[in-house]
Amino acid sequence: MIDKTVLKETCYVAVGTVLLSVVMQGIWLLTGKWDISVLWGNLLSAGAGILNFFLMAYTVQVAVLKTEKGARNTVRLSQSLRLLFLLGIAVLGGVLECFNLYAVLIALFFPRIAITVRSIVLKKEAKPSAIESEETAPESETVIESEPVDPKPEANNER
Amino acid sequence: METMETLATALAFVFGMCALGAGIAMIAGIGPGIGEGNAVAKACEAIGRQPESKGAVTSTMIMGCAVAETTGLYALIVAILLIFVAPNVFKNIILSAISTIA
Repeated sequence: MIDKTVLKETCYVAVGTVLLSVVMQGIWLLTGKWDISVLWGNLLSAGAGILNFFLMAYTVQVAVLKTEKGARNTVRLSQSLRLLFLLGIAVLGGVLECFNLYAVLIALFFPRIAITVRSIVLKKEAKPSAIESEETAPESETVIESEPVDPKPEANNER
Repeated sequence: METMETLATALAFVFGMCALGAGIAMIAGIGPGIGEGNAVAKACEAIGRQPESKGAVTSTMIMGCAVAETTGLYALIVAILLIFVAPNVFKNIILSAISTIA
């Protein structure tokens, strides 16, 4: 069973990859070097990148339920196999004429760029809430300070 | 004749060095695997201590693993460029140098 977290993160990465692919196609068009091999290379590589991210996330989901040693071995094996998979994709892009090698190689980085951009956005969203919490905290402290608890109220009444 | 032999030797040397460089570059692919393995092992430990934090830990781990893998990807790109792009570039440089000398 695939966890909701895995699906959610994969969706975010897929959307980011698609957006970056559109930007890359636009740049190729603007430079006047676009042909159909760029599109095929981009599709191949972007699909492989998203699949690679999904497999990595699924491996992490499975691995965190295992023992420490089992998790370590599972992730190492998964990383090696996924690297071989990406190597195969890149070799395919280099050997076959219908794929542009540069489009294949550049698009492999899109999931990572999408993750980096998303983490930056998440940090910016988290900052205002942190500032709000800092602003509210001193107020509560001042309320406590303005009304100090008298340790001996009975003694004061007697005076 | 001697020029042809020199050219063949130079090209063979360049292609061999490119293949060797690609192989050496792929050594960098080992690092992310070890790092990710250690990170996930610690995540297992953390989830074992606090099972209610499983979702947050998994999400953070996925992001961390994806970022850690980038190093391996750089190595892959360098290896692919050394195999497919660099030999042609070096071949052109050697050919132009020989034609200039001749």
